Amino acid sequence: MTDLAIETRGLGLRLGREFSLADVALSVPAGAIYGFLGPNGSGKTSTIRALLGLYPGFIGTASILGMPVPARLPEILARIGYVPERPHLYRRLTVAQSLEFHAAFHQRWDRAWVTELAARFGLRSGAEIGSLSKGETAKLMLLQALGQKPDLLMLDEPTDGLDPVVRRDVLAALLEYVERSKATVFISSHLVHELERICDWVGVMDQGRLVAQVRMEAFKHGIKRVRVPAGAVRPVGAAVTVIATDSVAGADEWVVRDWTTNSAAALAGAGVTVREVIDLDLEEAFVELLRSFRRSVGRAA
Amino acid sequence: MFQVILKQVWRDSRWMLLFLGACAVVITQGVVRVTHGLPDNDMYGAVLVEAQFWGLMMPVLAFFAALLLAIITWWPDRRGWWVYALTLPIERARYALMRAAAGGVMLGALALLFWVAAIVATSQAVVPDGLHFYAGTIALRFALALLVCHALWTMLSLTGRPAAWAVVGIVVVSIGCELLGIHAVSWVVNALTGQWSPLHILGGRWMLIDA
Repeated sequence: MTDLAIETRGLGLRLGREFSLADVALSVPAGAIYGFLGPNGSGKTSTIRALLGLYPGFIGTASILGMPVPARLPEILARIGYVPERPHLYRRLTVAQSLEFHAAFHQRWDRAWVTELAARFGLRSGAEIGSLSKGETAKLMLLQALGQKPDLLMLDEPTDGLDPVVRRDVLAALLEYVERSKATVFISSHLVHELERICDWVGVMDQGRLVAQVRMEAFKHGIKRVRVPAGAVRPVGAAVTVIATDSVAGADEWVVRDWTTNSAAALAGAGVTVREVIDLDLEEAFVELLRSFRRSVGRAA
Repeated sequence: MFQVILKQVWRDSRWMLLFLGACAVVITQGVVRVTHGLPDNDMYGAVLVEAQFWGLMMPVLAFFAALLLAIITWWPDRRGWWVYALTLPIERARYALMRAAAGGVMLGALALLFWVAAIVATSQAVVPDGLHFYAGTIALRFALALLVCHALWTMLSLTGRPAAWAVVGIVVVSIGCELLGIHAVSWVVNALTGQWSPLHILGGRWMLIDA
């Protein structure tokens, strides 16, 4: 297996007049749980769909599990468990019929585990899919994705709109499978805190572009709010990048990225006295990152 | 794989098939209805008239049966914007072929039912000298008509919106022309069932009983 489960270079796609993906360069390490963050409409779903061959004619290159997309799509899809944003299963089938249908297409189908998981999820085998609640449908979609024992799970907002109990069940089943199989998970969401708990890599999308792609630790701890004296001059070429500034009660506050333990000393060397370093939670870091990106896009425009 | 698709199409279409089968029985019985109860000297002409009248309904049945089965066959995938089908680990052409074939099997069953209904109807009837039953031939023609229409509707289903708009456009323009006194509907029907059209099989006389 290659070191990267998903790799794209210069991935671009035009969807209608308003929206396009541009130059998306994803590198998802094999075995990672990769959180694909971004506000609604940022291009997460479009990227996933392009990777699955649902949109023909994207530009750039993409490979999944070492195989090129779309040339080897059937082989790739045999090893991917996909849970889309919106339910895609045949509504008139019952749960049991849907599982039977899905199993027929997947050689690695794990019948015993599916039966066990279906019982744990409380899915009624005779219930028609069209009559299932949102939570039950989400569980069924995940069950089908897991039952095929995939090497890569692509989950597009799998817990969006679910109540906390169902969300916990879904994530627990997912983590249990990952622990067992060492599969790669590519999970998109706009729920930052949810991904914080489970992901070890994170990619941030906005306006059809990949804004950042870093280890979760670096993302969580690399973006800080730094309090400096009012009027302090921004360092040029220092070890940190200032992505936002603000003035608060006689001091300036900079939001910086790429913060490390040496950064305070580097700033001091550049003549900036750091009065206080304030940790940001992931959501604040995410928001600051997006603000910075949008400002740079606005300036470029 | 084909088996699960077939099962799904069967579940979705069984009641419709039953209804279409009943239509086949009614039509074939309609053809022979007149053979009971008319004096022999009146029967020759009356049988031909009746056979021609009911025969008109056979291509209509084939056309709409194929249409309904195509809708039933492709509706689950259309409704889900093809997302599920397109993410199955199988060549797309193969999947489409299997689904079309599943619809074809159902229509095969209908053709078989039509044949049995024609045999049953003709076995009960007595016709004057010079007239003959064509149960096998008409059933074969019905099966071929189903096949052609099914292929056509399947192609339209797979082509998606452009094809649907083209069909809607033809219908709207035809009706508009009719309202303006230009007889476009008959022209369209003639064009669609013309000698070089695949739908030519629907045209002409469909005679279960003929000279």
